[in-house]
Amino acid sequence: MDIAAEAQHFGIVTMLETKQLSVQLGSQAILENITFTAQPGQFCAIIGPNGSGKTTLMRALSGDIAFTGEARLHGLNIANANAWEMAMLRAVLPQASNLSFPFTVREIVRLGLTTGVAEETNPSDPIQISDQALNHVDLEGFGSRFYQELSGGEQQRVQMARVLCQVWQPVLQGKSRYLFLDEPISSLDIKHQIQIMGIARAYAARGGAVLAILHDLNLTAMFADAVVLLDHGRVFAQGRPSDVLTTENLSQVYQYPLAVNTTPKKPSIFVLPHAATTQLPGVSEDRV
Amino acid sequence: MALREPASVSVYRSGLPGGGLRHYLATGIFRDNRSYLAKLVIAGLVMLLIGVFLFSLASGASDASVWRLILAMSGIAPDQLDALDRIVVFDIRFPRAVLGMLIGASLAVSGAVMQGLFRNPLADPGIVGVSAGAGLGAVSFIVLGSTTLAPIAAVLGIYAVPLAAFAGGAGTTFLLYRVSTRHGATSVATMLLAGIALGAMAGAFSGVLVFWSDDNQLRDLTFWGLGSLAGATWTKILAAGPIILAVLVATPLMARNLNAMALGEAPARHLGVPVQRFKNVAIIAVAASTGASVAVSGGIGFVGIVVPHLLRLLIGPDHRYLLPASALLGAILLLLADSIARQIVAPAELPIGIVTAAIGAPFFLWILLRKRSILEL
Repeated sequence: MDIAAEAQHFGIVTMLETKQLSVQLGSQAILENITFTAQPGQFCAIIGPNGSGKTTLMRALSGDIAFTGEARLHGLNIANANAWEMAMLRAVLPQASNLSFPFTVREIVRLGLTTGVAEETNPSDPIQISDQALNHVDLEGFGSRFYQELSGGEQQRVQMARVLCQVWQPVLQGKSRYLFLDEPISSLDIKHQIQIMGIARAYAARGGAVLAILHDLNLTAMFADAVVLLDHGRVFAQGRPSDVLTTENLSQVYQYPLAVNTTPKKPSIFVLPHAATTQLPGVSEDRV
Repeated sequence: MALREPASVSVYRSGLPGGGLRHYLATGIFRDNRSYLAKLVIAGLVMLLIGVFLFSLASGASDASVWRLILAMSGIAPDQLDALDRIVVFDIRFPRAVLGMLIGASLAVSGAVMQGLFRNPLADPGIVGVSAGAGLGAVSFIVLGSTTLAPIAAVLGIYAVPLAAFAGGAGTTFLLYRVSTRHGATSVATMLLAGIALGAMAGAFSGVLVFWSDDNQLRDLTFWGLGSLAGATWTKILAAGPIILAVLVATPLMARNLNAMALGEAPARHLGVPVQRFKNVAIIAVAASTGASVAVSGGIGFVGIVVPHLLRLLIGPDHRYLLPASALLGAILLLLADSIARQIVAPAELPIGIVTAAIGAPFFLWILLRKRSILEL
């Protein structure tokens, strides 16, 4: 937040912003009038139930699908920016990746370095960076394994390492670079979930920005600086986690009785699904 | 007293060193960084190509030897080649070898580019109907060049058949691309099926033209269907060579984009590849070089699918090495196949397509069975 304020002070437009962004597929409106900003130095989480339009929003912001309204990254119009211009400013972690040929892990990670602008924008040794990125995601020594040999969670971390390589420096020529992460921790165990969230958090702390689709509300509360809650293709609420993640908001959007509580020591919020089980039809108190 | 395990077991457990070259290929520095191996392989292929080229100049019905040829060409002993040798080597074998190298490189690189582009190891101009389309273009001009298409043939001269083949190949590719692309995404399954259908249609039209052809044209067409380098002349090289060479020179520029495409079209775009423009350029390049190759040598199958596969198993799928290595190995294989085609039933000659399939297919199957674990990843 301080970095954003500083940037504003010097009159630099350094952010991702959308105005009235809408996506229509056939006759169905998938997204309607999405207006939000993701500030540099912040970890912004997009949450919402299945089918609420999270991935569609990510795809629109990545330049994959057509949309109406406006979306700008550092003033660049996302609808018609060059692929290489966008690649300099943001990297995208896909939800699932399948590979057509047997590349090794190291070769995949280096794709983040060898395409487009990478060499000029990464000042240090590219080979060193790819190994460092693998260490970051806890895959030291996996470099020469075949990507397709790995488990789903390991593959997801390899892709994370590749994405990190693409925007290794969080700030490039005074502009914050963005990590777009579509469910970055969906296949990971608890240790690696927290590690990857920590990497994203640290990236934002160093002046970059993170926009991540998440399903885990507790990790969202722990790591995010800002939350956008989507419901049926519209923004239901946005702001700080403590303002968005409320019992009322979550129960209404997820159409499920969820209770939000606060931890006793450090004022942090958490969601216990247990609180809801007594109100489920057919589940009695003593089974919990 | 505790039992001690025999020494042989503990040696077994600690892992035996060795296993020779294969051990190092699988686990050593090459597995760690396959680019070293790739560079070695490319260097080896360059040497092999030079050797095979000289062999191809020296082998045949007349007994001009490689040794005498080298002496003569290097100027040390120019008188070692007599006048007849000179004609055989420089006017008959030389253009034939040059054409063979160009065609082999073109077929193999076209296969590699198409497989990378469609993200599918089955894609090949021969399988998805591009060759059949190019064939239809060429057959049209062979059969109708002196009648219906005469005005066009007169304008185009010696370039008529190659250009028609090029147009046929490009047209088929364009149709294929249009059919299998929706909302900017190319569906591989649709592409393969549509390619087979388009190939069958082009084959049917060619069949009608063959039905109408006279005896002379029929002989031309038969040569065509099986593929041959016989009748290679500098004129043919001048007609097809520039197109093929231009594509071969351009393909290394595609390597990085093809590598990124292995992740998928959207991830490639996110990495900075202008995907749609790149696909257009690559498809035109493949259609051009396939069209030119089919035009001068007919339908030589199998090179485009076997060569990139073999090399992927050996040096990995990195297109920065795969494309040049494919060009080299394609050229080598076609030169070798042509040498066999010329000599096995000498003084007659087998169509080269028969040789590439007869030798390539069993070898390919053998490799597939041995390396199945990598392929099934």
